[in-house]
Amino acid sequence: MYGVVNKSLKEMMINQFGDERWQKVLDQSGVAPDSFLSMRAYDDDVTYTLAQAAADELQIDLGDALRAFGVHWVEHTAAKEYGTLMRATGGDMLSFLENLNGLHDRISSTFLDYRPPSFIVDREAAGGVSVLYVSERVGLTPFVEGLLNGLSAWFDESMEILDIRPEAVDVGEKSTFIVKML
Amino acid sequence: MASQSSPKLWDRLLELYTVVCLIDAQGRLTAVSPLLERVFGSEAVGSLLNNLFEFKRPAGFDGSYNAGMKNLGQLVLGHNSEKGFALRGQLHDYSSFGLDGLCLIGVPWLWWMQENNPDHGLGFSDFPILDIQMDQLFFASAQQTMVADLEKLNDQLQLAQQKIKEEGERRQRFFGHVSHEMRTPLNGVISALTLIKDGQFDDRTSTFIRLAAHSANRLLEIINFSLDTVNPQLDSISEDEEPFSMDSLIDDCLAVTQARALEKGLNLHRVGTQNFATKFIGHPRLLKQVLINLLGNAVKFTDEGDVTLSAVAMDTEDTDGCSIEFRVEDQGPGIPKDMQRQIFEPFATGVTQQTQKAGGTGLGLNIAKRCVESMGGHLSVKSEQGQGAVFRFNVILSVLSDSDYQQLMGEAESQASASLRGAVLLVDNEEEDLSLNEQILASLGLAVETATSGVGAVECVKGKTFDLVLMDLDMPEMDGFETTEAIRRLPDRDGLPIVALSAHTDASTKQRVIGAGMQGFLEKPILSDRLLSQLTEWVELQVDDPSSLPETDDRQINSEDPFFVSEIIERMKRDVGADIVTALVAKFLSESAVRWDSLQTALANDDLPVVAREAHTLGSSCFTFGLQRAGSRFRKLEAEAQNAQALTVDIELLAADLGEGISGLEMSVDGL
Repeated sequence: MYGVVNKSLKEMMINQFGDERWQKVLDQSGVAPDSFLSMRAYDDDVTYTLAQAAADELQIDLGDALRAFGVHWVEHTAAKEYGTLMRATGGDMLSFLENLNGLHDRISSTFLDYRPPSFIVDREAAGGVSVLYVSERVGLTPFVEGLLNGLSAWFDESMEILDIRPEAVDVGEKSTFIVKML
Repeated sequence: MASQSSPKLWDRLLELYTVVCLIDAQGRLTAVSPLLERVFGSEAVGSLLNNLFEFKRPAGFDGSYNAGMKNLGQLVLGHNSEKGFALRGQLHDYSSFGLDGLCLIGVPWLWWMQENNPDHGLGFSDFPILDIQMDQLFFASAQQTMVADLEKLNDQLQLAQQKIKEEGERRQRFFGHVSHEMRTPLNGVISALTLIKDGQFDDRTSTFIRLAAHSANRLLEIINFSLDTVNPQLDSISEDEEPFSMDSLIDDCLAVTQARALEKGLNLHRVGTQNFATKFIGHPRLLKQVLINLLGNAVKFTDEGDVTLSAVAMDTEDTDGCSIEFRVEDQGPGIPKDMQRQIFEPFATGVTQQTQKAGGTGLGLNIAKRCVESMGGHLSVKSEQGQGAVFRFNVILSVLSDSDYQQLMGEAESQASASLRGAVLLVDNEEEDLSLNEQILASLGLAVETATSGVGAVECVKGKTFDLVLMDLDMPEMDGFETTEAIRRLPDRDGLPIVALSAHTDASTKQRVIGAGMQGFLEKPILSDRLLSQLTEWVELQVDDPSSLPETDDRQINSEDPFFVSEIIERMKRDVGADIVTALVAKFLSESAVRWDSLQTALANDDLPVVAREAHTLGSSCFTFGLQRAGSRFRKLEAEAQNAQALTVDIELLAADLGEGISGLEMSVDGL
């Protein structure tokens, strides 16, 4: 994953819990103290290890840590560092999600190691709006849950996630979020 | 609104572009793409294009049909400030494909809108997939993030650098403090050794005292070097200028190195230095230190062959000065190119097996370099591995006329045989320093009273009249500055000379001393050989024996030189050991006897080349073993014989000088 992800995790820990606890996360994870460069690709293990160490340090479930991180990612990283791009991607949460693949496609043409997830929005799905999340990475569904909550807050929309339906896949992860826009 | 003239081409254009409009010959819009319709409303239809947009490019395009036809294929940049919309595109004439009118095709001009209407509300679908503006937008965002990363990193680096600097300064202060604290007791040791070294002791004790003094001085040298290094303001290598004879200075340097060269079977040459009849005023101690260091290294690293010292007077624009270039050349293993800069760094010894073998403090070349630089010169080395090394430096020295030189030397000698008269109050809380310095001052003829505190000093000064107060600066409770202030407040004591005593030799301390109303500064430890000249400003100088003042007749040059300088032999013993010195002296005595006979024969036969050769060899050997006066006479004889002049040297006097010198030499060497 790109350094911007690790940087965001570090920022969340320091902002919410202080330098000392981030230092403990680093010590616990064995990841070298680094000033992560946003656009440099780091091994996925670095991110996973840091996330697990942060959960351990905060004595919470990894899923909860990832959910919190998803919200932080939208509110403090994406919105601040890529606000213009986010606005260009969509004027509301669903439009944004519908255009997100287009944004990822464009990023892929510049950053060749970029391996983005994909999102398919069905506004007419049974029971609400469905958002299908497909990724070649495993274990990030809670992070996407946090992202959806963060996005609805950023677009100033009310939303409720009614259900999350994971599907078994050979590689990566596939989950469908059933969302109700309020 | 679709174009009716060629719907297929129109639809195709809408797939490729989001900004499309068709302009008829009257400049009216006959068709616009859905995006323009959304932004401007249906009223745009039929409006003149130049009412909707202000055009930046192409120059001269005003939205009219005719102007457009003249600018086909050009980049069109236009904006509508009221709506916050801008476009970028091209003008085409597709009339041959059935699309009547002038066709403007393009996309929203994203960068203009980002700048002028950030809330433009356009999304991905408003830009064709092949349009690069959204990619540029991402790239710009990424670049902004990277710049922010770099700025943050830069801040972190600066912070880290600042921390390292502060830590370094803290360590330097600590190191400087420790060095200073070490110097104070060490000064006590050196002063004590100085006072007892002239006493009567058996050989074993004398040897130990010399060894202790040598080691203590070496340690002081390292500590002083450390203090110089941590505090560049310290000026411990600066000293007053003195008159000196270059010839004697070079002889002294060669003499120091000669013993080790002889021991190793090396030939020590001097080239071009015989012509230095000129006397100079400058820094002979520094110069000597540099030459002895370079010669010592040359001998140390040469296993066989020659070591050559040459000195050449160069032209200089300064009419009062003479630029002299010194070169010390050896035939040692040479210095690899990549080490030639390192060798001037402190503690560079040990960087090669060769230097490790040779040993040393590792400070020699660094000190030599700094000495040369403090004299305004530059020390450099030229060497190829396996082909020896040449160290070179030049200094500019002020030339002294013979008469000025004699006068200055006379003053110096008269001081050496003089004593001081006056009452001195010595103030110091350190009992050891107080006791040692009291003895040194008393030995110079001064009446000394002591006080161990500032308060005590003020009381002493109240009740008695002194010619001078020597005031330690670092005292508890009331330091030297406060005590001076208190003394100055006493009636009739504002003119009393007060001289500071301190081991703190930095410029700021000296400035404080002057600012506090003290008249001078003496560095601890106070050394008796310098004290005389330093104190004559404040206390009376008495010349004990006026007859000892130097003569000014023709024999003056020779009578300057002592028959025998025991320090040279002592230094040899320290360098190579007493046993080797004994063997070398025995060899010198037997060879000089043979050469003396040969010289007598050559004189009898008027064989001047042989006279010159034997006089040269005997002269060099005499200087090597400290027989200065005989050496000078041989040198004069050599010069006269070499120049085929009439020989004026008194051979009987020469024989007497040689005999006196040899007597002194024999007495200083055991086991002959």
